[in-house]
Order: sequence, then structure tokens, then C-alpha cells
Amino acid sequence: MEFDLNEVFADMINAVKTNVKEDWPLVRESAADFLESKKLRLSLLAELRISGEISKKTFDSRLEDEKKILESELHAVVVITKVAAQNAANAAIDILSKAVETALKTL
Amino acid sequence: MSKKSTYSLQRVTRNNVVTCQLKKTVFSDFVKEKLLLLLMVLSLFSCRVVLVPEYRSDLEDQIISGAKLNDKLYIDLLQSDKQMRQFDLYKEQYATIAAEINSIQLKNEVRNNNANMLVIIKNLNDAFIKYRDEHKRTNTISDGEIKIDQAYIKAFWKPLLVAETALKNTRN
Repeated sequence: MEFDLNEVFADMINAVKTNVKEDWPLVRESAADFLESKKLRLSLLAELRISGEISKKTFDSRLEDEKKILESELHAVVVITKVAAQNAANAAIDILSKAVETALKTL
Repeated sequence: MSKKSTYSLQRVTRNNVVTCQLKKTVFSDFVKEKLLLLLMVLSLFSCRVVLVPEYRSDLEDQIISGAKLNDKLYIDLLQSDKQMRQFDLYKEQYATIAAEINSIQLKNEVRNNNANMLVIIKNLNDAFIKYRDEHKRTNTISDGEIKIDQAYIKAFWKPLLVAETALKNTRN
């Protein structure tokens, strides 16, 4: 009988760790990219307002749009995080399924 | 426990050597039944965690194409003379982009686990309509307004592309 629940559980935890480790850089890079874009965009907005190329009304309106952009960016980061969670959970389930199948073959 | 296992137990009392083997058979049958049951449960529910929609390369291409059309609108506006920036001259371009956004929205509405994507698309659509209606209302647009609208609409398209591209990374 080759079914050690502790060993299987440890393997499942390792599978989760490995998958999260592989996917985490994408979350970090995307968040950093969004922040960098925001910096450039706000800099352009301020520049155009100071030079008088856009009105105060347009300036205020686009500042308001920043809230919606942030909301969209956060939803995109959530999607990336969900992909990582899905990968990790399914990798752990695969470990359990394979361990059960192996144990059945040995009986 | 199966009938065969019960029968084996009755025979155990007559022969000690056979007893161990039969006990093992009974134990194995019991464990096997439990493991089979677990396997059946795992199979029955397919046991896959699904949190996001499936990746669609056609949608990724459409997002890139839509963002490109939107960017081209502002490039064309910026290149044109200020007297040639009436809304009517660009309404066809606006309509083409609106149709692209609507199509992307429709394709996402029929996907499973689409909540995040729908919020991103709604924000993009609202911003697109807002900028278009500002142009329509004033019937002209300054260089500064073009530059800022180009930057902002790009910022609304980007999370959509980032999210769709992320779906490529689903591994199981």
C-alpha cells in the first residue's frame, strides 16, 4: 500500500508553492507597468494644463477618469492573480489524483 | 465490503497461513473501495478549479486591433488642420471603434467567470463614449485635448489586453 497522506499533502503544498512562484512575477510586473504608465500620463496631464493647452474642466475630468483607470487596472491584476490561484489549486489536485491512482494500481 | 471478502474471512479460522493472506485481501478490498470512491468523486466533479474565462486568441487580436483603430483616430486628428476637425469628418471612425468595443463586450458576456473582464470593458466603453461626445458637442478638438484623450483611452484599453493575455498562462 503506497498511500501516505502526509507525503501526498506535502507534495500538494510544494505544487502550490511552485505554481505561485512561477506566476507571481507577472502580477508584480503588470502592477509596476501600470504605475509607470500612470506616472507618465499624469505628467502629461499636468504639463498640458500648465501650458494652457487644456482647460481646467478637461484637467478635472481626466483626473476623475484616473479612478476608473485604476479600477480597470485592479481588475486586470485580479485576473492575473486568479490565473495563479487556478494553476496552483489544479496542480495540487493533480498530485492527489495521481497519488490515488498509483495507490490503486499497487493493490 | 464485498461478498468475496466476507467469504474469505469465514475460511480464515481453518488455516493460519491462509489467514494473513486473506486478512490482507480484506484490508486491500476495503482501502481499494475507499480509494475508488475518492477517485470517482474526483472524476465526477472533474475536480478542476476554474476562476477565469478560457483564453481566446481571437479576442486578444480584436483588443489589439480595436486599440490600434482608436489610436489611429487620434493620430489622424492630430495630423489634420484645426479647421478640418469637425465631428462629422470622423464619425465613421468613431462608429467602427464603437462596433469593435461592442463586439468585444458581447463575446465576453457569453464567457464564464467574466465579472472582471466586464468591468474593464464597461470602463473602456464609458470613456470612449465620453470622449466622443465631447468632440461631437464642441465639433472640434485642440492639440492638447487630442494628446490627453489619446493617452487616456490607451490607459483604458491596456488593462483589457493585460487581462486577456494573462489568461494564456492557465496551465491546467
